[in-house]
Formats: sequence, structure tokens, C-alpha cells
Amino acid sequence: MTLALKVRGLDVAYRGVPAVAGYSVDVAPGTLTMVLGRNGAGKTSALRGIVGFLPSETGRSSADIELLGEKIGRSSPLSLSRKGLILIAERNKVFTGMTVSDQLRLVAEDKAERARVLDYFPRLQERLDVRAGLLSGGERQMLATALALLLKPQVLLVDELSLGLAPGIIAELMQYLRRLADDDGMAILAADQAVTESLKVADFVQVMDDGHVVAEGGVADLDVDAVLDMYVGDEKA
Amino acid sequence: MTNLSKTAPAPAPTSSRPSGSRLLRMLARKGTPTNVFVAVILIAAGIWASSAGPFVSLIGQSCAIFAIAALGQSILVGGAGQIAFSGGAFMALGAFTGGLLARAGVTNFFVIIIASLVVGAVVGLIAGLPGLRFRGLYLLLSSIALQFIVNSLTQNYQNAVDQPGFVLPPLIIGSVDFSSGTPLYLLLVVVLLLVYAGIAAVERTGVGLAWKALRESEVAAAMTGVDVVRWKLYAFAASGAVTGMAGALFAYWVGRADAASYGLDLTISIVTMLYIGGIRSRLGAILGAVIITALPYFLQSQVSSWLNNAGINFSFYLNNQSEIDAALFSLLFLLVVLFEPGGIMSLLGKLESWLRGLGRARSTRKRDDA
Amino acid sequence: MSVISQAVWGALVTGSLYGLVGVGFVLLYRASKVLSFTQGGFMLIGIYLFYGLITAGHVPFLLAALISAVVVAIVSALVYVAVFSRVAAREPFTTSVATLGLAGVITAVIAIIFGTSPVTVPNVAGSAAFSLAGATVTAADLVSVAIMVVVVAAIIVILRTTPLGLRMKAVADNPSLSVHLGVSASRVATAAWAMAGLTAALGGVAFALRESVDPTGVATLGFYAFPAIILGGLDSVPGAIGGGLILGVLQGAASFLFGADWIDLVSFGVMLVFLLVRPTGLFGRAEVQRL
Repeated sequence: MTLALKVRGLDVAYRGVPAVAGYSVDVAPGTLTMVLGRNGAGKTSALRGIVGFLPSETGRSSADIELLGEKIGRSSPLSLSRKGLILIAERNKVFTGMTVSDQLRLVAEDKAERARVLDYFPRLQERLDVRAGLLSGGERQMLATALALLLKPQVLLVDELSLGLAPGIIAELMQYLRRLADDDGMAILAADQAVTESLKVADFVQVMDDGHVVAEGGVADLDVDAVLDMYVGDEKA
Repeated sequence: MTNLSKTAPAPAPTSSRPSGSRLLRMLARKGTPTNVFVAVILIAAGIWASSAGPFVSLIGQSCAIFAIAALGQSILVGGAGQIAFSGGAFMALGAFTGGLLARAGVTNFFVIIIASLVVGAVVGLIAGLPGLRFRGLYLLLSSIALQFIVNSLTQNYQNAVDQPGFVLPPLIIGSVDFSSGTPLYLLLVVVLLLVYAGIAAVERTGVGLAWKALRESEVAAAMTGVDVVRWKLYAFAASGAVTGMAGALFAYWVGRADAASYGLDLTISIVTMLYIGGIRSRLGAILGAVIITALPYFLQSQVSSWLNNAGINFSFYLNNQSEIDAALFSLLFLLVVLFEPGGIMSLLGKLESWLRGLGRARSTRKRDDA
Repeated sequence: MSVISQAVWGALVTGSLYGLVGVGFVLLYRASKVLSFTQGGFMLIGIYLFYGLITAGHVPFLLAALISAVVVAIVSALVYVAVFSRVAAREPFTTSVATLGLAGVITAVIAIIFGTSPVTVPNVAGSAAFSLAGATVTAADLVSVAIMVVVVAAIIVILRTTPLGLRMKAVADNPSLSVHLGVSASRVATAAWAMAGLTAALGGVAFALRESVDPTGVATLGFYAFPAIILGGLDSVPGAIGGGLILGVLQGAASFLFGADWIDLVSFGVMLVFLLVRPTGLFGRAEVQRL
């Protein structure tokens, strides 16, 4: 079975200061891999490093990456998005000055497609003419997810889905990721700090600390409690 | 002695001097050889110009004046990390201060110069107040607005009062006539050196350190307790003062203060000087000023005779000289800003690093062989 | 009465020119955060190309205007792709300063080729003139205003209805998010530079139809666009038009009340006041960052 995403030896540095060293991951289609770890552990940097940094940003990354079996040279977010790798970022995930419907139109010109995706997010359907800057945190996350889905990703990277959201919404969104993997065969790599909810839906887990992966394995096999005690403390949300 | 520099000094080049020599360690600090090299060249050129005839002396005078103006503008870059497009306006202010004082009967050189410093500082301070909030593009735009406003005011005033411009008194200090030739040249060079030394001295004090912190990151500076407002204002005031004085000196040199000379063209020339020499370096400002000011004369007189001797027709250049010069300088400006904003100083610095790398490789090999 | 209505009409025509050139600036700024001084240079190319086509090529003037506009649009896009695209992404401010250099090169080259003395475009719009509320309106005036109206309307339609317009909005809102979602910021910027070149060329042509032009004068015209866009708001296309018209009226009033020598002072004085008090302009979005 071809891996949807294969990363080996990812190094990320900001102006020479290293943030991630030697990160590797295998993500198979239809699976959900969660990356856990404290603030500053390097989760966000690892995800950003996979899609690549823009020239205007200070980050630089290097890695061996295979996307859907194809070797990716110098990765750039633009080319990777065209090849089916989409990142939903931690911050900056929607166009705050544009209305919901405008943004959806931006990403997908097909009305039927937009309608199909909007079916998953009834709350957004009520907010079509609202500027995204005025949406609530949960609605923004839904919009960001909708935008990503409209691009028909085969590999979806999600960064801190749960940030600032109420527990109920977090559970709902996590379940949603699970369904995407199960029903649509999407390969999902998500970084998060909501440990309990993440473990409920993940197939595989990686724990990061100080820029390295310090533990990983299938959720079923991993002595998750022990690992978490060591590295996350009592942050079991 | 304790070495306080941030980067550890590179090992001293092989020489017969004892390696504990303080001078050598200072020279070996990164960047110093470049600075020394450029300074030596400038000094040598300066000395040559003092006795190479009236034409060269004239060029030298002009170079010195613009070097002072460029230094003035570079205070703002060094002090607030900001580039402003109002150099011409401040020169106009200094020049008109001189012109108006002359009209009121003042003939003392020092009074006029000090007045131009004060006026420049005050206006600089006022310009700095909104400049506190502006960075980048907004400062660019507001300084351009200031440039046009000052230009307009001075031009209108001049049209109303004394059409050809305000005549300045001949530059006589005590009983010595400094108004032309070598004496004027030497006077201007002395002023330039004083300004440079003044800036260098200030940069070693607390003010200079604050400016350095501001340059690196205003946010970080504010968080470590640097009174951003105060130091930024000082930078604006100092920049205005020095540039204003340069304007007064320019008016002395030309003989009158004429608003038409201080337009956006002049401002752009000064910015070009800063970028070509090296936007982050005081010596770069002087270097850039000398190059931009002297090059047209050099092209016209020297290169034309070379080409004539080689049988190449140079009349096209001579017929369109000012436009071709403008095109060349604009092109140079474009290339420098895009690809090497550190200018010539930065290029020389890279050369120095490359040479150091060679030197280290060679000394490592020697050690290995030994 | 007719003096006033003439002044008003003159202000509107001039103002619409500023607005047209200003729209180009705003498009560029929204697409790449660059304030391009090269607009003045592109105006020059447009004017002299137009002049050459009319006098030497005997091309009908509307066609000549169209050709000029298209050529300059292509030149502008090429300039972006070849020179500024790499740098602009990293450092918009430095790029803005660099555009000054390019403007200087263009102005100097044109001066070398065509000389510095003023050039008068022959009266190609026809010599019809008629009276409107006491003001004399020439055919050239009408053509100028018509050009402005048509071009700006077309641009607004493009921005509001086409996918390109949506992408431009997205890149203006959030360049990095756009790239992550598959929108090529550099392609959007190229389109913006092309459109800006077009507006510059047509603004220049419209100006040349009514006044004689010389290289330095046109470059200064380019600078008048700044008060217009600051008044209107750096990131608003309709704002540029509004700002341009208001500036035209202000200049007309200043000229009328104080004399032509005070136009500069009023224009840039108002610009400075706005920068201090309302940097987002009259129509800009209120969340402009401190750049």
C-alpha cells in the first residue's frame, strides 16, 4: 500500500535557530495520525516545514518528502496544494476581510461542490454573507476546514484544530476528522494539545518534545499514559 | 585586556608582531579592515584633492558638502532604522535660514551655521513626532509630503521676495577668506570630519546604543526599557540639524539659496548616495556621496579624453550628458537596492570575509603540516 | 458663474485623471504591498507611444490609445516578472524604494530619445466644444473623462465578478493564506501590474490630450497621485477615484483662491494631515497596519 505521505529527516530552523530536527512520519490513506506535545515542542513547525515556507517568512526547512509516491523536491506551499497536500494552519486560517461565500467561491468555482461541503457545516450556511473576521472561533475553524476540503486534499495537515474552542465543538470536529479518514480515505496528520479527544479518534500517535519525536506508535499498542505523564504533564484536557 | 566585542576576534594574521598586540586585535575585528581600507582611500583622495588644482578642488568641495548631507540623512537610518525622503527639504531649510539671516544683515559664518543647525533640529523634531507612529511606507510618504511642502513654501516665498534667490555673504571668518579654492575645501573637510567624529562619538554613548537597539528591533528595545520615543526624536533632530547645516554650506558654495535646487531630485540623489555607499554605514554615506558627486565630472573630463584618444566618438554622451548620468545613476540605484542594499561597503565586507576564509584555510594547513 | 463652473469642470477632469492613475497604485498596493513610483514612468511611455503613433503612424487616436495601453500593460507585467517579483515577495518596502530607480531610468531614457522640451499632442479628439452650465467643455475633456469612466468601471467589474478579482481580494487580505490555498500570489501580482500599467498609460494619454507634456512634468504628475490615494485610502479602488476627484476640487479651489503656486502646498499639506489624522483615508478599511 503506498503511503500518502512519507517524511524523513525534516529539519526546520528560523533564522538559523533550530525548531525541529530529524522529524519523520508515515501517513497511510484513510488513517489519522495525531502529533501531541507541549507548546513549543515543534508540532506547528513540523507541519509548516512539510508544506514549506514562503520567501517572506523566516523559516527554512529541508527534508525528504514523498507525496502519494512522488518525491517532492524543494517544497512550496503552492505546488504542494496543487498536488493534494493541504494545511489548515493554526492561526491565519481564513480571510478575515472576505465573506464566507466569497471565500468558498474563491477556492471552488463549482456551485455543487460548495453545496456538498456546506452540508457538513450547517452553521456556516447561516453565515454566508458574514465577514469571516466576525465569525466565532468554532465557525472559523469550520470555514477553514471547508476551504481545505474544497481543494480536494488527499493529505490533510491540521494544526491545533482545538485551539480556543469549547470541548463540545472539539469533540465534534475531531469526530469529523475521523469520518473524513474513514469515509473519504483521506490521510490526516494533525497536531493538537487536546490529548483526550485526540486519542479517541487517532490511529497513530507521535509525541514531540523540543523539536524531536520522543515516542510514537499505534494508539492500541502505545502505553499512552506513561508517555503522556512524562512529556505532557497533567495536561490531559 | 578584556575583549568586549560581540564576535571573537579572528586569529591575527601571521606577522612578525607579537600576537598580544592590542592594535592588531582591534584591526582584526570583523569589519574593521574594510572600514580602515575605505577610510584610507577617502583620506588619500581628500589629500590629493587639496592640491590638485582649482577644478579638482571645486569637485572636492561639492563632495564634502554632500557627504555632510548624506551623513545627516544616514543618522536617521542608523538612529531609527528608517529611510526618509526629505533630505532636500532640510537642506532647503538650512539654506534659507542662511539666506534670510543674510538678508537681515547677518554676516557671521558661525551664526548662520548654528542657526541652520537649530532650525534643522527643530523641524526635524517636529517631523519626528508623527514619525514616531510611522514606519516604512507611511514614513516614506509623509517625508515626501514634507519635501513637497517645504519646496513649495520656499519657492513661493522666494518668488514673492527675491526672485533669483537669497544671496549669502562671502564666507569670511575673521580675516581669512574661505569663500573659494583650497581654503574653502579645507574648511568643508574640517566640518565633515567634525560631523563624522561627532556621530562616531555619539554612537559610543548611551544614545548610540539605544539607536542600535532601535535599529534591530523597536519592539524588543521597548520591552527592555529603551525609551523609544526619546531616542527616536533625538535621531530625527540630529538628522535634521546636520542636513540643514549641509544645506547652508551648499548655499554658501553656490553663493545663494535658490529653492529650485532643493527639490525631490536632490532628495533622491542623497538617498542614492546612501544606498550605493551602503545604507548601514557612516563611511558608506561618505563614500556614496563622493562617488555620486564626483563621477559625472570624472566621466565628462577623463573618460572623454580616453575615448577620444582611443578614437571612439563621445559626442553622444556629451550631448545628453545629464540624462545619461541620470539614467546610469538610477540604474545603479535600482540594482543596488534590489540586490545589495549594503552597497559597496557590504561588497567589500564580503570580500574581506572571503579573504579571511582563505587566510584561515592556509593557516590551518600550515598547522597541519607542522 | 461661468468662471466657477469652468473651475469645477476643470477640477473634475483633472481629478478623474488623478483617480485613474491612483487606481493603478491601489491595485499594485493591494496585490503586492508595493507602492510603485514606476507608474510615472509608465505614464511617460504611454504618452510618447501614443504621440508617436498619432504623428508618425497616423493611427486614429482611439486605436493609438488602446495600443499604448496594451503595450504598457505588457511592459509593466514583464517588469514585475523580470525585476521585482522575487524581491517584492520578501520586502515590499525595499521594492517600493527600488521602483524609484526604475522610474528614473525610464524618465531619463525617454528624455534622451525624445528630448526634454514639451510635446504637444495634436488635437486629435476633434475641436468640438460646447457649453455645459456655463463651462466650456472640449471634446478632449470629454474623451479624458470617458476614458477614466470606462476603464475604472471595467476594473471594478473585473474585481467584483471575475475569479481573478476574487483572487486579488484574497491576496490583498492574506497573501500567505492565499498561497496555502492554491492561489498563486505572483500570478495575481502580475495581473495587477499589467492593469496598473494600463491605467498609467491611459491616464497619461488623457492628460496629454489636454496639455502639453514633458518628461519631468509627467513624473511630477505621478507624484500627485499620492495625495489622491492617501485621501481615498491606500487599499480602496473606489477610494482612489473619490480621492482623486476631491484632490482635483481642492487643487482647483486652491488655484482659484490663492493662485496656481499654492497647489503643491495644498495637495501635500492635505496628504500630510490625513497621514497624521486618518491614515486609512476616507474610504479605506480601518485596519491598516502600521507598516
